Amino acid sequence: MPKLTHLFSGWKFWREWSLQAKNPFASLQDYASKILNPAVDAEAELAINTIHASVPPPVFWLLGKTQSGKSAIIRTLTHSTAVEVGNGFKPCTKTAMFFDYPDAETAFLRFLDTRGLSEAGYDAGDDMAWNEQQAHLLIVVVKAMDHQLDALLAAARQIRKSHPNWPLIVAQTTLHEGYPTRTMEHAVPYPFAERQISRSVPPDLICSLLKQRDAFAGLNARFVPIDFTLAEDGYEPADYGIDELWTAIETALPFGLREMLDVSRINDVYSKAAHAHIVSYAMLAGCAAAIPLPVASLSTVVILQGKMFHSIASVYGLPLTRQSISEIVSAIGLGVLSGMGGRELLKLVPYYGQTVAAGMAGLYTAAVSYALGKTLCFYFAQTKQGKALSPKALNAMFKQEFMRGGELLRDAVKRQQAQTQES
Amino acid sequence: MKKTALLIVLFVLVLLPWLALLILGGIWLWQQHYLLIAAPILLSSYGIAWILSQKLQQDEPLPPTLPSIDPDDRWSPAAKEIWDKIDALAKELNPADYPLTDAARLAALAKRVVTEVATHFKPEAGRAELDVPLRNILFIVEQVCRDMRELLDEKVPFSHLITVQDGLQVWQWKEKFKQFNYLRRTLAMAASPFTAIPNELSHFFTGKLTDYPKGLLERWLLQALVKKIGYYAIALYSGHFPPSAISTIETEQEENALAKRPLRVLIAGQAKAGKSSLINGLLGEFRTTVDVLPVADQLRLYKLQQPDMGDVLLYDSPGYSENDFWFQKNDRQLGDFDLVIVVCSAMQAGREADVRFLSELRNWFGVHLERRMPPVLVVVSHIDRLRPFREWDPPYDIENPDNGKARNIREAVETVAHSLQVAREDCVPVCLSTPAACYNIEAVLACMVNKLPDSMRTQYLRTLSEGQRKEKIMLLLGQLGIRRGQA
Repeated sequence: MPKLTHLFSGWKFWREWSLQAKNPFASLQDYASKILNPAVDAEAELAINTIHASVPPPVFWLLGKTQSGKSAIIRTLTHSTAVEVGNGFKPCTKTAMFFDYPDAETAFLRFLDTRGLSEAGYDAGDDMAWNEQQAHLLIVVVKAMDHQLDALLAAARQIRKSHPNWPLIVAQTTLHEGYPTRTMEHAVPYPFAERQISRSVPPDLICSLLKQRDAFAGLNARFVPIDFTLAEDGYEPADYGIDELWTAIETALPFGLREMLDVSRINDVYSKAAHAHIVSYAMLAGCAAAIPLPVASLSTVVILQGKMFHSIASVYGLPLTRQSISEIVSAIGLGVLSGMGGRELLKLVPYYGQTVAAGMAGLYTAAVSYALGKTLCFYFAQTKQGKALSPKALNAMFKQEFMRGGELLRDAVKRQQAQTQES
Repeated sequence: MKKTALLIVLFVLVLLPWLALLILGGIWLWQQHYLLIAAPILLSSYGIAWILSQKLQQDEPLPPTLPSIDPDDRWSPAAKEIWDKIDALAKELNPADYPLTDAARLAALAKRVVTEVATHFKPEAGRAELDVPLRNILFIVEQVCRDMRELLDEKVPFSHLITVQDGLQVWQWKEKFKQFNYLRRTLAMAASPFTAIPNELSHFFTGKLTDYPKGLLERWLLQALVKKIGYYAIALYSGHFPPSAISTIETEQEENALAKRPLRVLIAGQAKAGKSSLINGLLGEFRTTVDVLPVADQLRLYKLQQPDMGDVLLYDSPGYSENDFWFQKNDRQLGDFDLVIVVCSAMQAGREADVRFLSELRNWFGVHLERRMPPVLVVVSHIDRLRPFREWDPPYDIENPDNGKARNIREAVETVAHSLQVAREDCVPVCLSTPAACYNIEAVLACMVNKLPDSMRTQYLRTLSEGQRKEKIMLLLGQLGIRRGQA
């Protein structure tokens, strides 16, 4: 079936799609009422479950003793607060908890936190069975000065044995515990290049880090010394080693996750909070458009966009009205949404030429959904400040975010594409 | 005379109406045919009152002037257990069942007590009463007789009992005991061991106890007798008393030597928890010479001279982890120490290994009931590395924390105490980062001194069991005539 999608080239595909596109995008009224329809929940859930079943979100498996800094890693990677991370955990197996980002429903990133590793005889079997079918990155978290690694090593070897190809990152945390004085600052620039440690690092710490490397020898691991502290701890920067960790992660899983999680560009707190939800819904919508689903792709896309609108509205604490939807959609143009009038926009999508047709549909829908979400954010932000809105500004905003979305979600959509074709 | 007559008249006048009422009431009951119901009620209420008054008399507590007999607080848990049984038995006894003049009954009672103790300590012997060696019985009898005599001699409540005539008898009795040739007495008692005690007692007390509050003295004597027999039987069987004359001279030497023996303190903990730093801190405080004696099983020995505790041996143990305990590998016994200090890093959240170590320790003493579990102290190290990381400005008031660091220290201590199931006050937070900048090491020493009485008891039982092996060999040598100079 997926092979068939290859047969469609350029405009043939669009013609096919435009036939489908009749119902939801036929009129603004229809689109708006579909978005506002409160009965979309069950359908959306079904669609999300179907998408997740065929393209499960990537799983970062954090393996480490209690208090070794696993939560700090989740916190720093996702820009969440400690409380959010702490409350977000849900138990899944006897020895593990998971944390879905941004939330359980629309997760596009999942962390598995293995607990009780200091107990004798940890068996990774349950945890492995739990995420056997999912994309993986194993991150072993170990304090830089800790050398009681027997249980940890045993578990890592056990996992390595059954999954010789999973990438393995060893995060060596809390570097400051190896500093000779309390006043010492982090060495800048970051002195731990792969395999090399520069002389600016205290000798005790070097010794300890190298000894840990020895302990993990033969596991084909990549070592990343990090120190993720809280702002009040007084270490600058608080996310010491984040670049190196992201490099390691992106090398292992080239999904563009860092870009997707990055909120440093956004100033508005509401917009920051809504960002992860927009990314996640945009990806889901992209999937819905690209992969053969039992439900009609386009109506699913609309349902997902509706879910996104509602969740943005709840972040801003503003009501979602027919009027606001109409204002935005008419500024952008229904055709753009359906893909009919969006050809000129399509050319803006980066790497347009290299993308296969089906992938293009997915990427286009993802980028449109992303831009829609961002435009709604902009709309709400302006409304909150009581500023007047011109269709022109909305349209400009949409175009800008459409490009950004295309860039951001490119890798993720590619991965989904690859995965659906595998399955 | 006249006045008395008047008083009687007055009395009668006052009483007469009430008496009349009583009689009239009786007549009324008779007339109404209620007498048959009233009479049994009357009788039964009087009956209950009588029984209660009897009971009241029996439960009357012994006057505090009569000495009570207490167990030795150095005894092991097993010995304490059987002592409680004997104590309960003594309290249950009804003096009416065991008149002090009835030798046969008292002998049976004494036998029962000794048998019970023997069964407790040697449960594997099928019929313990047959397995009680004669020399043990003789030893108990001898000790009990001596003690009972001393009790009767010295305690004040008895002085009014002893008349001039009795005094003579007491004196004779005392003399008799003093002059008693050990061998002759032994032979006499050997002929009928259990009757020896009651014979002595009944001879002394026949007909003399009637002036004393009825039953009280008998009860006390009976209890004292049972307890004394129990006490010596327990002491004998749990090895606290060498059961023969051979060691009477040595006992004193033994006790002197005990006082001189240093306490053994085990410093245990996970790797890098700060065991060696703690030892450095403890030694640095007093600037004593450090003897580093590498021991074969990897325990390193240090000597700490401390005015409050005398000499203390510190054993630095290799760090353990969940599945790797040094004492399992080297077959080193966990019972070799009088105080155990577990060093726990505040930064190490995985405390499963410490929990397992403590449960191994408890298990060991659960199996070896003749020994006492040493007190356990927990030292929470590395508190300087708690949040806020950059701050270290001791002293901190941990009991009433007034800043973030102190609060975090308190929290760490509480977490450790909770997960290791140790009392909060037995957990001492310390900083051992550099020998010069140790913080709170005095608190560790203070806790060690606090635990000293407990440690001494543990040490007593430990040295006892170590001594017993030697004792048995000596006894055997003596019996075979190899060892000279013993009576």
